Amino acid sequence: MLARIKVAGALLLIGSCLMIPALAFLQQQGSLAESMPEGKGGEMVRTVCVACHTLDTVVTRSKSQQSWRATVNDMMGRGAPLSSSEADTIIDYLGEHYGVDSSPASVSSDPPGKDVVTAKCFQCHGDAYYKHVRMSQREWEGVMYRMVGRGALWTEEEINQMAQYFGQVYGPDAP
Amino acid sequence: MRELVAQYLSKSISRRTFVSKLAGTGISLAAAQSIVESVTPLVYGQGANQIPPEGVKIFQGTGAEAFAEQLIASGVEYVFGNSGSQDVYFYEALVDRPQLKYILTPHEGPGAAMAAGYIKASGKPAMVMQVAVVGLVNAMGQMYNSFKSQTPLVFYTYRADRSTTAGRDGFEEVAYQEEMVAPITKWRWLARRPDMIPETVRRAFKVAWTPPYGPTYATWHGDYNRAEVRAEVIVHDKVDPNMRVRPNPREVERAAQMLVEAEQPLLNVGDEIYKAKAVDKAVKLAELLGMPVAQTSQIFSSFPENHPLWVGRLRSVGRLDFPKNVDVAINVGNKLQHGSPSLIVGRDIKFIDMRIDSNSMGNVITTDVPLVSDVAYGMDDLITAVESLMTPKLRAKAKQRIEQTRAFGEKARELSALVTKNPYWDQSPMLAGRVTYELTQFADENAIIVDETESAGPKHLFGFNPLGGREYIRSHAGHLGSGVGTAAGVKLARPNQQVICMTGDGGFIFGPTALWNMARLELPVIVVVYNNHAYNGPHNRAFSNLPNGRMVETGHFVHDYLGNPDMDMAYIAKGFGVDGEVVESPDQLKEALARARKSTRDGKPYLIDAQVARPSTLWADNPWTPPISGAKMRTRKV
Ligand SMILES: Cc1ncc(C[n+]2csc(CCOP(=O)(O)OP(=O)(O)O)c2C)c(N)n1
Ligand SMILES: [Mg+2]
Repeated sequence: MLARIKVAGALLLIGSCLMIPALAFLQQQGSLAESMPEGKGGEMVRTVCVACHTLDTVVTRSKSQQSWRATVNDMMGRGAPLSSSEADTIIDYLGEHYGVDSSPASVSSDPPGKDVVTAKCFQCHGDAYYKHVRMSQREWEGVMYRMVGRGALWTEEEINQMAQYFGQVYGPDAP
Repeated sequence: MRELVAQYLSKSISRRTFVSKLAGTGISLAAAQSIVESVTPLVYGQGANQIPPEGVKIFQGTGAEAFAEQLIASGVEYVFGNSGSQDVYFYEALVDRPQLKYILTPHEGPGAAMAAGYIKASGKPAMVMQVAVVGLVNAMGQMYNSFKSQTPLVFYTYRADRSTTAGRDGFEEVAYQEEMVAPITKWRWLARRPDMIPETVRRAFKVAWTPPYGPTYATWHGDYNRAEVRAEVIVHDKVDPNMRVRPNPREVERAAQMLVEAEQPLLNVGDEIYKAKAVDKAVKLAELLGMPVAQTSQIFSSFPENHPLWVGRLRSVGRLDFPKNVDVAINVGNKLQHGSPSLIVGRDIKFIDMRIDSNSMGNVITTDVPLVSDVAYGMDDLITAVESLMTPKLRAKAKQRIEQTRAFGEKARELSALVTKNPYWDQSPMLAGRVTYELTQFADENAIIVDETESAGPKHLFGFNPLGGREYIRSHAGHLGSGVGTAAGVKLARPNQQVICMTGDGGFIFGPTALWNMARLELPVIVVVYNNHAYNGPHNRAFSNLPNGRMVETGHFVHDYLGNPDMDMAYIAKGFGVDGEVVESPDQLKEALARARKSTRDGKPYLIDAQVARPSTLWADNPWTPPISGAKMRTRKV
């Protein structure tokens, strides 16, 4: 039935939770937790942050300290129960181990363009929406330009890189 | 004859009797009519300008006449209504009060939207008058929109139950009718006696027009309209509390200090600025401090988007492309509606909040300096306070920030222009973004864009500028079916500006009846329907909420496809007396827009049904529709 449905492009919206079968999910989270460097901040990430979202939304990113601060502040606004000194501990930890110079846990095997996608798309929304879409690179390019129409400020080069990445990872033949 | 005039003036005889007796004296009917016209103003003698300087007069007549008198004294020129049997006394009162004009709207929703559009674009009061509870419920969608968008729209409907029979489940009787509107009005009231009609109307206007604005509702038993009353009629100025308040001077000092000490301040603007006609003050404040300006979206656009300090739409301060390191944010006049748990202004940013809407301050975002005030006065005071603190060094810093922001703006404009490089740019049916882009190229320099679309692409390319350039007016605050009506009302208020209404097919079909008003009242609006034969937004949300669900698996979306058969909006428009056409491609669209311009110049509205692609996920070429067929259910072919 799915094949009958034309996948003609995606309008990216803020996504909802991923639904991963429970066991695989726990295994994945466990290995991510093990991959995290030692530190008080890391411990807090594993206890406080995971109350609301999965670890991969943290440890697959790399951001400047400033940007981590914005994220953590945002989370406090959403109700993360942290004092300001606890927040500082987390921000220091993330800035040190998941800063712009360090490579995020999963990046080594990812096709080119992933870091651009991480930096650009995650500014506004999660990946739950596009994860399930399969389209050609040209169609993905159409999506990127529609995002420009909605106010995204990207260069042509960035757009091409992202379209290429999506065309590869979420192409018509991708699983 | 003198005797006759005296009788008429003293109201001992009716108008009709007066005319027939005049005719009986041998005067022709036409001459009799003209005598009546010249004498009538004396009978009522109460055009708003005839209220004595103290602003209060005693009126004697029917309840409905007193109602009309008070509307005039409250500054109302237009009543938007639909007919009700107990309002005939009101219509009667209009015959000799030409300064109060009645616009018959064939559906209450678009009718009320028209009133709201008129208010938004004119800043003047208007009245929505519907039939008892049955008309009220149709108008309530716009009551909701007005409540959320803080539009001072006054509604009246009578109670169908008479004062003498109420309480017996009579025709159209609903107990506590006025309470139905409780959560979506600022104030609602049941007049307790016929002579309290003017007082009730006065209060409805006073409350609606006391900032922060909002809708109000007045009601009374229908029989009060014909009762004989003696009551005061009072001009609006005499009851207006004039809540144009200045902020606390000590808080102003603190805010000024905080702003001059900021490394990277940011100004967020909002509707109160537009409503207070204080856009120039916002520009001055921003320039003084070299402060970038953003806007959390609301109903109006409240800052010139071509200004070097403009940085665009604000979802949350942390997500702005520029500036990145905001340490002090000031909000002026924006309601800051939080639709997600994410804070618009993060906890690590010092926050100054200036608005008259004290109710919504400090609800989500913690506030370091609250400045409760009319934003025009508030900005005046703040500008003075900041000026007194500015040193040459601070001025140099401000200048530097202006340059940095200008550089960002230039880059942003360059990148925004890339939208035309979409590989599907020229396709038919068109990209919604392409239609919008063509409108940005087409619209007059001072066009007013009335918008009922959600994701229709590069609206920022309009370059809105409320200081004499293009203006933006959102038609609704969630309740669709308001676009066409709002645009008609906007055109009524601003006949000398081009008005373009952008609406989706779904939004349009909730409320097309105002097209008929456009045709009848010669309101030359250009209506562009983004017709994708679908509820694209709801489709996307089904997909994003349930990406692994059965709907996605089977393609059985019951809720989002409006085709089969496709609706032809140009054909529908013709039925309302509005000319229009269906266009499939960008070239056709450009030609149609040229015809639309000609039509509007000739005083006639025009509708373009633009065929728009459904570009979102999982739209079948031929979408599934539920297999329900009345014809097939039949056992008898009747
Ligand atoms: C009166 C009313 N009913 C229902 C809705 C729910 N709703 C939100 S968006 C939408 C679809 C609008 O369709 P259209 O105007 O064609 O825009 P599109 O989603 O296709 O871009 C609906 C029905 C609403 N907002 N208002
Ligand atoms: Mg639609």
